[in-house]
Amino acid sequence: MTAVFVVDDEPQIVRALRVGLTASGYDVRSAGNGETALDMLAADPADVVLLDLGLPGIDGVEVVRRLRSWTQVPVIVLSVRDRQADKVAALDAGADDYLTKPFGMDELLARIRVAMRRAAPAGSVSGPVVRAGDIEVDVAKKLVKKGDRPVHLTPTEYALLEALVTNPGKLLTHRWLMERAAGGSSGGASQYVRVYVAQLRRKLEDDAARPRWILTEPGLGYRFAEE
Amino acid sequence: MGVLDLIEPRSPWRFTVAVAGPGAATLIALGIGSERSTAAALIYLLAVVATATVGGLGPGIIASALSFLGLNYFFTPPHHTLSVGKSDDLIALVVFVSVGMIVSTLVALGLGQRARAERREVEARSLYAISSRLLGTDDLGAALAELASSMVRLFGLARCEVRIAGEDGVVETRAFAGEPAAPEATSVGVPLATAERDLGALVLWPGHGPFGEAERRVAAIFARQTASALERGLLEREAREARVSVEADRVRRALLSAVSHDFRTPLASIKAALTTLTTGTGRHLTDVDRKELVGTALEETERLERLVTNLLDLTRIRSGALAPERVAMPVEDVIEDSLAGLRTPLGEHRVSVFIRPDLPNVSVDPVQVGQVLQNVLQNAAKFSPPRSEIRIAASRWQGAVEVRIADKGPGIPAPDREAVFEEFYRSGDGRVAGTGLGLAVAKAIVLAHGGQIWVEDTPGGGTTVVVRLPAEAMVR
Repeated sequence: MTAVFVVDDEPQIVRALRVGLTASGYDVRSAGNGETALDMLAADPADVVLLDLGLPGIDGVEVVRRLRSWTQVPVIVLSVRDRQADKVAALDAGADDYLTKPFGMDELLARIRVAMRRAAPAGSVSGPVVRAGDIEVDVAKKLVKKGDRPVHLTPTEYALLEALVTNPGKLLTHRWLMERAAGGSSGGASQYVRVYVAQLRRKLEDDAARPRWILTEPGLGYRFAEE
Repeated sequence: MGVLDLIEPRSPWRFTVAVAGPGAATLIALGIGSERSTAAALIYLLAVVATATVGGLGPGIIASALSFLGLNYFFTPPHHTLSVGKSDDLIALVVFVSVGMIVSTLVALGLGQRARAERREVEARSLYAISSRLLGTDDLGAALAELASSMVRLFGLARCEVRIAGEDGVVETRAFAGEPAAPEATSVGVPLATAERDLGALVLWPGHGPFGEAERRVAAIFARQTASALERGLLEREAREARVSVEADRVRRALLSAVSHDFRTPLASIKAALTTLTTGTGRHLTDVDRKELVGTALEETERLERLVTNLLDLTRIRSGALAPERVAMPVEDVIEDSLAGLRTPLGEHRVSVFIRPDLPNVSVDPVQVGQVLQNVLQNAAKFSPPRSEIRIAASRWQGAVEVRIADKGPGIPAPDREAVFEEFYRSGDGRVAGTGLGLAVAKAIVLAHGGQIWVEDTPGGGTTVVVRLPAEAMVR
């Protein structure tokens, strides 16, 4: 059974999550503060961590940072903090996704599935050819088609697209995309990525102004839509 | 300024004095007798001094000359001629004229100095008055109008206008005094400027008073003073506005983040519980699960309700819409009722109550003050170690009764003891759950009762909240 670990100091939300996730077939454990959570996860790892930011003792962002020193377990932040800066700080520390409280259970379940899929060994989920609507990306041959028409992409555009289509549904930050697509990060990462995403949309989306596949997460990065 | 200033004509009648003085002296001295030349000389001298005192240097000198002639003509032999017979008389006449001249000069100089001193004093006073008005006022318009009328008064102007550049750089007349000047009348502009900025100008139309180089210099000093007072006033206002807006901004942001946290947290549990019940997952729930989810949603709804009620109470009490309905009752009843009515029990804390005998009744709204004690007790329970003692003690203090609620928690550092009564204040790392409104509501209620509430150390460690309530006799 998939093990979910909830870190939150509010017993009510923990109770609601425990019931909802258990009913969806997850095995749920929880801790009320960061230190206990880190100890428990070190002793017995989980498959996905749901983490509140405002915790007694060490802060949620610090929990992510410490977790990342020894595990790549997917971390989804659940927080009432809705400021861009808080989200970016958590994602930069290594969190995989960010859901602002309050949220619906179905949305949380979808995000957990995405996180789990990413954690699965590469290729086992998507195979060498990824399809999204009439877009087809052959990751093995590095060929892109829209309908029957081959689409010509520059190496940077292709690297960016590959990063996007191989992580469907996942929030990909500007910085992460920058590292994947251009092999390094710089201060102007978000500007740089934005330019290439605009080009990709023009070549792949039916309406570049209203993208169906490459979705913007304002201030944070991009998400490749799931079918 | 020199001697020339002293013989400038100041009034036309002073030359009448210059003639009348020696004339009167002649009549008086003739009455005494033309042979008494010494007495006559002294009377003339008196007339010269008097003339110089009243009329200044010019009339004094004229009076001296006329007195010399009178003395020579009427009282030095040969009489009724301007010739002098004896050399002694000639010496006497020369000495007389010299004394007259010297006395006139001295008197006039003294008077001139005094006049100038007085004028300077008036100018200095006006300057001081204007700059302190400009510095101290929020009504800039009134202060500038005062400046204009002072200028008109001081220099005998026909009109004075104060023109000041606004924020958009457009110069406009902000104040004036005197009658509108004729278009062809010549005006004098004096810049209002400091080292840092040009603020505008004083525009002056000379009237009945003289307006020469000296006056212009004094006016320039006025303008400089005014400009620096204006600038200081402007800077001060700018700084004050900046301070106020920074503070308001801080409060607004703190309030916003607190409200967003306090409302979203229970909403998150409610939404998570309800969406679990209603979406696909709901099919796999057991009855126990359902009960638990509904229970959670209810609990959190109550928490939201408390938050909203507290916020409304706080607003109502502060605005005076929820006035206390006072009843005279023993303080132990208020304490017992509040303990019995606690919505959430105080966990495993031991509560002990100590009440001094012979306490006067308190005059309070039992519901409101019960709420105060409950809020303080819940806080004490929240912040002190489990199973530790919470001690309630009531004692008399002058015309009031003090209730002390002491816990053995970590205590509150002295600098934060005022702040704990602010809304949405959270102690230390802010991790303990709560609305952050309990103590703010408590303080608002206590103040509405004419009481006081504050924080002290518990001897041996912990926080003591003291609630001072008016006793019955004190209110009557």
